[in-house]
Amino acid sequence: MIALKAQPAGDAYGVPVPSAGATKPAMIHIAGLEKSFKTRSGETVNALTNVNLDIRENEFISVVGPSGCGKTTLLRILAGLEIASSGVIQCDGAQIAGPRPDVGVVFQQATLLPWNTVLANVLLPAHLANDKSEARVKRAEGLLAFMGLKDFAQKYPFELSGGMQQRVSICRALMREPRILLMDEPFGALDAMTREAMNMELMRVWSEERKTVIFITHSIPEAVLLGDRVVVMSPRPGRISEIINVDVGRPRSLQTMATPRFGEICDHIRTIFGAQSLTATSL
Amino acid sequence: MSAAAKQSRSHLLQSIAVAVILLAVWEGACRQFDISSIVLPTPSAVVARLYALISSGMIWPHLWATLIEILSGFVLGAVAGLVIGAMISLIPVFERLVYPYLVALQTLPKVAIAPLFIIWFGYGLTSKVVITALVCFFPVLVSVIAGFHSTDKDQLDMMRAFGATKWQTLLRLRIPSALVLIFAGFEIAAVLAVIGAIVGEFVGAQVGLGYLVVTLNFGMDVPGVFAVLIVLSAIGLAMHGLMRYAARRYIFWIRRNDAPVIP
Ligand SMILES: Nc1ncnc2c1ncn2[C@@H]1O[C@H](COP(=O)(O)OP(=O)(O)OP(=O)(O)O)[C@@H](O)[C@H]1O
Ligand SMILES: [Mg+2]
Repeated sequence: MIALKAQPAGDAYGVPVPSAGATKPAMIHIAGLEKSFKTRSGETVNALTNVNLDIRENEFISVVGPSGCGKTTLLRILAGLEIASSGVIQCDGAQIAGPRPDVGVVFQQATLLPWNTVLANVLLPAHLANDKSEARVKRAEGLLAFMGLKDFAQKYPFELSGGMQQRVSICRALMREPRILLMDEPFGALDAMTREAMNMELMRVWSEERKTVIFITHSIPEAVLLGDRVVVMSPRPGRISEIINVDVGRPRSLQTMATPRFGEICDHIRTIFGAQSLTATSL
Repeated sequence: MSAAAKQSRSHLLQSIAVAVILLAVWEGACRQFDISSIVLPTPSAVVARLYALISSGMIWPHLWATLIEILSGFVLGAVAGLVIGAMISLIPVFERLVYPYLVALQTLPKVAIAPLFIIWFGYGLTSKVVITALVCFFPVLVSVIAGFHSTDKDQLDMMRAFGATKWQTLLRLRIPSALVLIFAGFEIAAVLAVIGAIVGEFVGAQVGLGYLVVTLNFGMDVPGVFAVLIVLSAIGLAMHGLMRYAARRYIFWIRRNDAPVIP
């Protein structure tokens, strides 16, 4: 089923993909997005300038970029935790003005509540919506089992490893069956092996419960492995320098990373970063 | 027996050995140099006096009075500290209006106001309870305010992203986060409570361990004074132990290095 998923017709990589197909309007529409912060010393930092991006429903978007280029800021605006300074940022045609129930967020830190059991942590979004039904508990247990944490439901977060905690926080984000999943470097703190295993698990989740994913990462192979498209950002001021179509078929596995096409795309992204750092040093 | 239990047991044996040696040296020195028991009584004399105080039943009314002062003063002070601390943390107007005065009050040495409380509340238990409550109030107040400010910003964002209301955030995140520091405040207050009660009794009382110390001291019964000091430090240790136990039970998620003092 996944393998049959139509790939957007072969844009050459490196050519920014034109916004969503003409037939269906984009689920998330970002145009001319700006975000600036006032620092304590009174200066203005332009975290994002002129960001334009359209995201289709059920699309997996990876975002890469050097530290400080505004990835987290973009994600926080999408999550409704931060308000854009100007520009359009719409979901289903309505400007995002605050957190939405159909959005699940996985933060860079697991941010589990240490006084709650793993199960209670996963159930948190349901509890906050005053839904204490048995069905929700079943779903939480199902999610934990799916993530290989069946036996840890009654444990406390401090009894889990970092990678397990991050899996719990993914379960929590999936609890209310969100249509949109926002992930901010969720595997940043993990070792390479656990990280690859987590990538596989994430793809498995995504193939089971299709949803729109925006996935921030520092790792170029990870971005290419997971994404339908990779958004490459550059800093000072934070903006999108390129959007790359990953024309590699699904299902993908760790073997996919050994294919020539995969390598070409990774190299291309590295070239963009190389050019960025050259201009940075020449300044 | 586990390795850890074995180790902590051998640690206990070591500290008992140190105590025995120290006491033996103390006892020996007193006898050797013929030190007057008015200056420094021998440990054996202190123990004998302690036994006499207990078996004659003389100590009980004093012990009860002081325990009641300590416990009710601690509870009153802690509850007041919790309530006012929470109001200051959660109601901005309250912080602006009340906090400066509380800070000013805190800088006052409580010992210096103790005589006033004797005048206002009399020589009975009430004045001592009030003094103890006042002494316990501030560490709890400060820890509550610090506790509410210690909420993790990422977790606040997480709650907001998952649609928590202000109340839900308060109940599910801010209060549990604050507990860690609040229990630290309780621990300090528990020890200060003993000091508060004794200071109050020094200033004016008809019963209590502090009163007993003053009376025995007046009668040059120095072994008796030492005996009461032992009882007082036992109370202090018990209060502290109780708080540590409560903390371990209610903020179990904090992993600190607490190798048991008494296994
Ligand atoms: N609350 C804030 N106040 C002031 N400046 C901010 C604030 N949040 C972010 N910034 C600035 O905005 C820029 C982008 O920050 P952001 O956290 O989005 O970067 P990032 O791409 O996520 O970096 P990293 O990969 O290191 O996480 C940075 O220069 C940062 O200093
Ligand atoms: Mg970031």
